[in-house]
Amino acid sequence: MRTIYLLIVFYLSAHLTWHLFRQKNFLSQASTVLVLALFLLRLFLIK
Amino acid sequence: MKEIKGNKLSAAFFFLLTLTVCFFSGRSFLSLHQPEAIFPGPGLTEQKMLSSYFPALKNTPGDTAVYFFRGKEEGGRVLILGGTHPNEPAGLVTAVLLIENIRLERGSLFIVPRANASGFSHSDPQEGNPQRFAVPTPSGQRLFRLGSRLTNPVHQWPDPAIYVNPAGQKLSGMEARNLNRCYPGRAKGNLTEKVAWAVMELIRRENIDLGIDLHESAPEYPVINAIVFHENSSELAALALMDIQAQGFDIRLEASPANLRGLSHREWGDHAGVKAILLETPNASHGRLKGKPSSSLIVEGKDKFYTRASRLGWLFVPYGEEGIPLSLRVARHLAGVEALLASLEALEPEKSVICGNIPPPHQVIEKGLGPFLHPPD
Amino acid sequence: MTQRLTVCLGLTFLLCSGAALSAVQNTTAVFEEPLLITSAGQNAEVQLAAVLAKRAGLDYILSKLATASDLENTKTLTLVLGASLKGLGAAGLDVDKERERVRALVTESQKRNIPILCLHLGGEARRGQQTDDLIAEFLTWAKMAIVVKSGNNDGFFTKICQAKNIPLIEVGKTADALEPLRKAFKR
Repeated sequence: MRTIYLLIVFYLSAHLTWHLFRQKNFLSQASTVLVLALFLLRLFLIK
Repeated sequence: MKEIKGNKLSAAFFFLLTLTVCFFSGRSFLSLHQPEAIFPGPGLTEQKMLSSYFPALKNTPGDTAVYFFRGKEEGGRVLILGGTHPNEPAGLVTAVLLIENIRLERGSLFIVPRANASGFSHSDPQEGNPQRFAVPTPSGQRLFRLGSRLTNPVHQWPDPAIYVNPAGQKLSGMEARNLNRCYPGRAKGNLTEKVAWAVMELIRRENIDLGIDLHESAPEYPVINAIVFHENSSELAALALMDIQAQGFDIRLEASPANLRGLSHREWGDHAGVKAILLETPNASHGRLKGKPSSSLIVEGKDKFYTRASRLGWLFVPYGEEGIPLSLRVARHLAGVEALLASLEALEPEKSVICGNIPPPHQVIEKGLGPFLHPPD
Repeated sequence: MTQRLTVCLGLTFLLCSGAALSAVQNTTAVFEEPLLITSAGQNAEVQLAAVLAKRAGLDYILSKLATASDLENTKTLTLVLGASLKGLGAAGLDVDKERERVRALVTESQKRNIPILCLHLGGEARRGQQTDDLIAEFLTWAKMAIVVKSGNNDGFFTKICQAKNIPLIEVGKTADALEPLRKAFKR
């Protein structure tokens, strides 16, 4: 169960990072930080 | 509005910024996994881990310290649990105050200050609670963690949709992480059930006579300023109540409902046959009507919204502008522990536990907690 | 004339105080043992009443769910007033069922001429609409009432007791109820 959860979070984190680098709008890039930080903390199971 | 163009360089900057945010916030979150220092007084006989009663708990986040005090004479055996709910700080601080001050003359006393150790390693999401609260002492501030009512989901996940606890009670899923719903525990259950099982093992192996579980509740909750007792402890609780009232504290009795299963005051009595008592004090910091959560709300207990609610008659305790400070809540618990020990002695002299150097409740109210706490590191 | 008036007033005062004193004495030692202790509302204070009775050296039986048949060999019925939702839930009762139980007990005690002693030991915390309804119904049957003062801050007990001429004893805290309880029983 935990592995599946981590795989989902990893996929979403990777997806967000990929889009961060493809994004042409500076403000959209900035707002990605807010979401990506939460996903990365989840990925490393930091709570 | 003019669009600002981003490029790979700005993306790399933001990615680095994300990592930096993660590093500092992660470090801050992980610091909660380190237990605060407790400085046992010279009266301590032995410190062990809860896993010594249930080895399966060893090296898990549920393992926690047990402080053992033995008197010169044989007598009764009493267990005091603080931190069953880590967001109810008076339980932890009362246990710490006892560990750092008492000397036992007769009998044995086991104190577990952080019963749900995992619950102390995180805080409740979306509450805006401080990670720690500061208790002033003459030599500086002592910091204590304010945890969550529930076990850390990193340590126990996922929650079931409906939780059927070891006593057969159906509860909402998240209660699977509530230590005070998991008694008598399961040896092969989830982490919280294992902790509950280990506490039961301690009670059984050490032949405990009386168990006291220290809690707090929100001022709008009906079971407050109360002694909750198992029916096998009714006389003990009634005697203690009169003693506590004689000390000037307003307190009431609540019988442990026989049909609400999984709680310490029910299962300790039913499964181990010990006298089981739970003490409640009023704590605004985990109530629903509070204003901004802060360390001072926990320690000083002043909250204008609770004062207003009290004026409107919405609360089960009077809540004036002076608030209900942590020192008063801890003093209530200390008075409760003293009264219960005295009542145990009155009812069963051969099981008496005589404990010296308990910080006097009225002095704790008057001088605060600081003079009775070890100076910070 | 003035002297005569003074003497008359003095005599009246003495007579009144004597009457008052005898009234106070009448309020004491009116019950006999053994007593049956039960609650009206399944409150936890019933345990306190039992401890007080034990300390007072009284011959008592504690029965949380006493019925009319428990009045056999009982000379006093002690009702500890106060509704506790937790207590009612634990006993598998609701307020109406509990009222029926206590009503049956009171009716039977009246048939058997068993006097009723009412206690309210929970103070202000053990008040509220449900408790007040029970008090209003059952306190009227009491031969005496002992209450913790904070439960009577609004004069609720005083009002009922004055209307029904029931001696009311107020005590500061629970432990203070011991002495009036001891004195309320004939030895």
